[in-house]
Amino acid sequence: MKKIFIITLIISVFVTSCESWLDVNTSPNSSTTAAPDDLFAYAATAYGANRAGGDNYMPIGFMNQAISTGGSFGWGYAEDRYDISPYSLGNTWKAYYSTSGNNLQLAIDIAEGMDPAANNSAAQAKILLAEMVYECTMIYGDMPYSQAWNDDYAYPEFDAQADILNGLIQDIDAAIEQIDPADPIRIIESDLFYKGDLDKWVRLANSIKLRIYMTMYDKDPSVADDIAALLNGDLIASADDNFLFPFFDEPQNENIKFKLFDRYANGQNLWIFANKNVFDFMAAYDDPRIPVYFDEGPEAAEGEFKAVETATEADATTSTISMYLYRPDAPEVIFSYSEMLFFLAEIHARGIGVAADLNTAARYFEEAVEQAMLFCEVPQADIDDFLASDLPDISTMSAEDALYEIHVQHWIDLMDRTLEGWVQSRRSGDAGNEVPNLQLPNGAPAGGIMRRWPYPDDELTGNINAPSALPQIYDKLWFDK
Amino acid sequence: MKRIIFFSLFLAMSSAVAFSQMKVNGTVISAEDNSLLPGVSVLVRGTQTGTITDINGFYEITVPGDDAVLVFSFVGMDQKEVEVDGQSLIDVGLTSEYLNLDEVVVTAVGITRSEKSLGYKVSSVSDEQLNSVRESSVVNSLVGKVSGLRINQQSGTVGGSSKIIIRGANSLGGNNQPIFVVDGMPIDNTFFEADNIEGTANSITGNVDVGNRASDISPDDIASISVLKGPAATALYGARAKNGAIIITTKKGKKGTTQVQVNTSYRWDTPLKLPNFQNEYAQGSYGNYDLKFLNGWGPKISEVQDQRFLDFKGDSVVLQAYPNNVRDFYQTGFTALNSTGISGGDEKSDFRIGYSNNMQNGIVPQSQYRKNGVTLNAGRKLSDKLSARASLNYIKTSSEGRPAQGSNDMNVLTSKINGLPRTVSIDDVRENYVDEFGDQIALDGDKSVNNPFWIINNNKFTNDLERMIGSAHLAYQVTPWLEISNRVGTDFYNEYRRQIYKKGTLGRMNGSFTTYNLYNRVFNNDLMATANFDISEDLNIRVIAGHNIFEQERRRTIVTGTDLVMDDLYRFGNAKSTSPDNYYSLKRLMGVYGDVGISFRNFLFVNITGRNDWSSTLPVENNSYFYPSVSSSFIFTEFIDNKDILSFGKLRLSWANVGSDEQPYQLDFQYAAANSYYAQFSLNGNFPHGGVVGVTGPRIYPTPDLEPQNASTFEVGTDLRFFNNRIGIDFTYYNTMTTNQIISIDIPLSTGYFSRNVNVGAVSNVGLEADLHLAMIRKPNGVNWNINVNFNKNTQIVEELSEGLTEYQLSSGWSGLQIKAAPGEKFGLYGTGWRRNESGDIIINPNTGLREVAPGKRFGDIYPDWIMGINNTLSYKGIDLNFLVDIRQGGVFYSGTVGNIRSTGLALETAENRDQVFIDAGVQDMGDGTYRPNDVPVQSMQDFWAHYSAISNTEGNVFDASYVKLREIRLSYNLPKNVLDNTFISGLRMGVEARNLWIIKDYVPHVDPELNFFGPAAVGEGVEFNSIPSVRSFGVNLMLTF
Repeated sequence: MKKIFIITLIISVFVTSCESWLDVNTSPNSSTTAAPDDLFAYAATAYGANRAGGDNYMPIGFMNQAISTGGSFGWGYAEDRYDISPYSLGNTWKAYYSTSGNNLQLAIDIAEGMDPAANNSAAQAKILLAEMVYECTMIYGDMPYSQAWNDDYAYPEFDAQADILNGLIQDIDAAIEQIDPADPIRIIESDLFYKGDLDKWVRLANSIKLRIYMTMYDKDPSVADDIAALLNGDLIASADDNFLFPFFDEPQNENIKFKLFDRYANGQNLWIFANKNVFDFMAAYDDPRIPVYFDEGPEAAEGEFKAVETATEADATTSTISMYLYRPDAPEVIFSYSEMLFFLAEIHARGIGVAADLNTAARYFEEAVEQAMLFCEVPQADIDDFLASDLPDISTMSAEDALYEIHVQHWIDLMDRTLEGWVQSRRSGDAGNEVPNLQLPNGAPAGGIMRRWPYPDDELTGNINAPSALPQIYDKLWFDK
Repeated sequence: MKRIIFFSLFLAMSSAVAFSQMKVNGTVISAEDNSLLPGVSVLVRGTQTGTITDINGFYEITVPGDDAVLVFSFVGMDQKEVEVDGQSLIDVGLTSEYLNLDEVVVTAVGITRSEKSLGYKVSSVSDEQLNSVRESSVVNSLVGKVSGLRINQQSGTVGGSSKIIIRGANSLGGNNQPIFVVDGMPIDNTFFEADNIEGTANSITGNVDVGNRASDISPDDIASISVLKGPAATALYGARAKNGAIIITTKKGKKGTTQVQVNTSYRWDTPLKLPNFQNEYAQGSYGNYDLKFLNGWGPKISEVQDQRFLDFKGDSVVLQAYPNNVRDFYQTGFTALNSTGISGGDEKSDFRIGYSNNMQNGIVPQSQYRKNGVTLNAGRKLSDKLSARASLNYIKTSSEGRPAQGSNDMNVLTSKINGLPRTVSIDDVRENYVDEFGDQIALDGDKSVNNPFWIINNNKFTNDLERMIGSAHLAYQVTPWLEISNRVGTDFYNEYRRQIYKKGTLGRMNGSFTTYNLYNRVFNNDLMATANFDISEDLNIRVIAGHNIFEQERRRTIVTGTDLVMDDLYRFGNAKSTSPDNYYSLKRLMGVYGDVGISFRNFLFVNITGRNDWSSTLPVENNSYFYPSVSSSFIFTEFIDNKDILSFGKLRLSWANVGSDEQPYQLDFQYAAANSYYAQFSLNGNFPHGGVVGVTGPRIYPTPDLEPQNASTFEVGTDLRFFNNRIGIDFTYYNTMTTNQIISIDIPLSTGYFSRNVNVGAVSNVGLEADLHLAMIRKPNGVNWNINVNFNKNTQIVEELSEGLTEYQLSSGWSGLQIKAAPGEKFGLYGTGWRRNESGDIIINPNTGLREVAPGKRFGDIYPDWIMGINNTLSYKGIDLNFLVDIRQGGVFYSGTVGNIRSTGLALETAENRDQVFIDAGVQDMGDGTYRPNDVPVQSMQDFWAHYSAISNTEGNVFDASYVKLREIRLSYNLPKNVLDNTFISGLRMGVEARNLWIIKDYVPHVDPELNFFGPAAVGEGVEFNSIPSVRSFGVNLMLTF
């Protein structure tokens, strides 16, 4: 009896010990397939959250002096003295290449591999990816592009910025080519930007091309013809075309800027202040956006707005960036109609690919300012007053002065879009003649204002093809003249 | 009444004895030096009849009959049992515990072997040693008692976790914790961190130290612990024990005696080390009072006595320092450890039932921990050939109010306590955490920092755990030389956790809560055949063949509800938004193993083992791996006739090679439905975002052809005992090389992926272990003094990483702080340091007078050069005095707490130089390759400390981690047996004890250098950030045996 028991036990143990018993390594927590739509949605959200958050918006804004830390009174000295946390350097690079970039690349590969190919979906992902690559090279300069996201290259080589920008034009052209409005297959629900409106995607694609050419123009004037060609094409033509990543006044879907203060400061902005480099331009023209952009300091008199220098102690009367701009459902703006109008004003003022014409420029300029103000909900009457009595008429100015005014208004419009603001300030003139004319902040290392971010360690230590001679933070990128 | 119950129990359980009384007498001597032993307890087994020997070692006792058994016991000596068998004169020689060469130790897969036959070092800890000073956690009670074992208590949280490293960390990839085995059943020792459903350990955000699961085992139920330190010792366990094994044997009933043991301790805990604060300056900025700042940079209190200021409650007050406001926040913690055990047995059966109860109230107000455990261990010989044993252990633990540590979480407590301005009274804070409307009164003028008592009273973290560990063992003696046995066991638990943020919590004004349901299960079966062949009188061969299956299953559900509608109602229907996540994993392992042991006469022993494992987590074509071991023991004193000086000498030699597998599900390219998206400062958002879900590809690029990891070790040792065993020295040298480690190495992010799983790297750990035993005094008058020293020097070197990889990040902290591995180095602490010139002078900024910084500097090793425990035992006539000194030498320690209290101007040293010009030591860079001594003063001490101690400037907060601690001290008294004559009590021991009594020497200001924030499962250590201070305990203990 006992022997039978033992033998049964032995057999039962051995019977179970076959290969199938060990075949349990397929994860129940994830899938081996995915739809391009869902990858696109993840990529877009990771991108929007990075842009609005503490790894991109804040360090760039502090460093490029669009907003102020207020020193120990506020956020504390660091980014405003060019001390960018290695985590921000790395996280932003990670977002562009991996959490956002790679998922778009996977979405493109899956969409094009489908039968029939989901060409529209692939094109939507390509246009967004092109915008992300553009932003990334505006921060870091030369970087992996032609060999990135490719299993054949374990150590992607760094491409020159000029090659990247030209490559992006081709990528966008290919995407436009791929779009077929008759094909109903496209990313619709998961497209948080345009909900699958392909006409808007085409206008965006052309507008991004224009932005890239405008960035290149000072260094490569030959793109003037391409700019001229685009002017006749399909560009962002109304505020309805604005390329925005939406946040929502819903729990855990709020704008990251709002969440920072909601989570850690009882919903008040204690840490981010008005910077004189923006505020003084606005104050000079009595800009009606002042009470929209800024909140009075807690101990300031009503209506008393004032800004603080970069890397300088604020006090309880210093104005903060308004909780209106930091509202929970404030969208992350990536391309706006007002921005397009400022480009058009600049193109006509400078005569890029077209004859210089300050009257046309002035028309676009006023419309740009009006659109910028409408976007932040300034009452129409106030806008009309401002345009009539405060905004200078650039049509009567010298071309140089007119361009200056355009750059000033463009810079003010981009205060809360710190990355575009950084591109604009570097692009707005030769070194030393930029708008605004930024000075080395108090306490920042000598050498000059910050013109690029260092490459993150995450890439440098892993990539044997990373440049060995690393540029200084004050070295210009290729496009920066 | 009680007595009657106990007697009925005895009657029911002990077998009837025939009564025919007779007298026995004799003399008890020490077997080593023939000295007379007074005070030896002589007890008739199974009765309460007993006596003790007089000053001449003489005893006389009346025994009930000639089949009685006498039990002789004496502290520090092995207990001896002698059958009366009609003799009236029984002289006895007792041997010292330490000298028992035939001591049997438990080795891998439960095989018991005599210690002298082992070819590798196994450290055994008896229950006496374990419980010399009682601890609620079995892990903590091992501190300083075993060579080669390093234990770090992570925080002063009640029931908090401890990290164990045996002979240095071998693994780059994470867990370096040993396996715990209870009565042959490998149990779970998971440490699950709250913020990651996959349980990958690494986090900064507001984590609560919930303890590791090995601490569920009650030390009072443990009979002995064997520590298997190297692959040779653990080879039969396979991959699971690559970091060593802690083999626990629980108490069993003894034949014939029915015993009731009651053990009660009460303990009082206070913070071991609190920061030293300045008490001269109020809160503010640059000398001006400002409620906005919770710091010490305001005006000098003595200079503004003529002014009134608003305090945090809005009252107008004259400023006054409260020097003890931080100390007074903490309360005296209280612990009650109670256990009882009833055990007994007869010729065929034995049993033991144990119950233990542990009640702890922490030093943080309203934090508490409860543990209840019931164990049953019963065996029976069913026939001459078949025997069975079962053991069961049911545990329930619960805790409430354990504090959050780290940063970026509203519930983090210590930063708020240490950050109290010196002018704030803790009584005021305690009594004014809500206003008359029930709204919170914040500590700062901006109303952004929660009142700590709001958190303590409202946002209590709770957890509840129910666990069952059970195993059944059947053994069948097929023939006199062949035994077949099977042990099947399981260990499973359910844990529920809840973290809440009440509505009105600053930072979570609308309230939120998260619940965690965690289920873990381990299943293990070992089938074994053991054959013993006596080839000749001199030669014995023992062959063991075994088969093992092992399964580990995990199921987790984590749900967060945000934006609560009704206050104080933590149900998901009451939340406007919920975010659920769930996770499942299953891992299986099958192994076959064999062990051939040859013993020749009594001096040469050789063991050869082999095991082959098949793991579900590796690719099918690579999932099988074999590892062999050879060990040998040679007792060379068998060839020496004169044993006057060297009484015993043994050489040990072993070599082993073991493999190990991977975490489950690492091979396929997988897409995951994302639960959240990343944003800096722990501001992650949740999917669906605007109703849209997100799916992401993997961050770690999978490698489908992974191979098993490999560790090879060589160990040589000797056990020498001198002067009739008065001195014992045990040396072990070991060299372990771990290669082909499965880690995810960072790859260029531009590939689209963070990292790739590869087999790379080699880490070596070379070390020396020494155990020294000194019987300093062993006097016939009963005075004994023993010293036991254990020492471990371990040198860990990263021999290589992958080609092209110059460093590998093991753990990441914040703001540039990292733990990294680099070839040719030990695991090190890296971060932002001071910029220095070629001669090492610190370069000072010419404008600010502050130190310039440079990233990526290495500050030192995270592990010590050596550790040592010195244990003293003094005994005299039933009075024992034990004390244990614990020493760590080397390594570095980063303290975020120090950084915080310095940069906020609260630490004592920040009060200096405020009224003076301060020029930091360093040089000015002249820009032409030359330097002049720094002459630029800092603009203020506030700027200086804000920069010097900034969390991002790692170097300012790095210290030498060495320490000397008085770890344990105990004074106990065993009541003489004659006093207990005519009572139902057969033994009574009373004791006064203390743990973590005194940091004799350390180099870290303000905090205990032992704190660690990474948790026991991470490679990283030596970093502290807002940790709960560790505690010092005083207690009394009473142990009663019936």
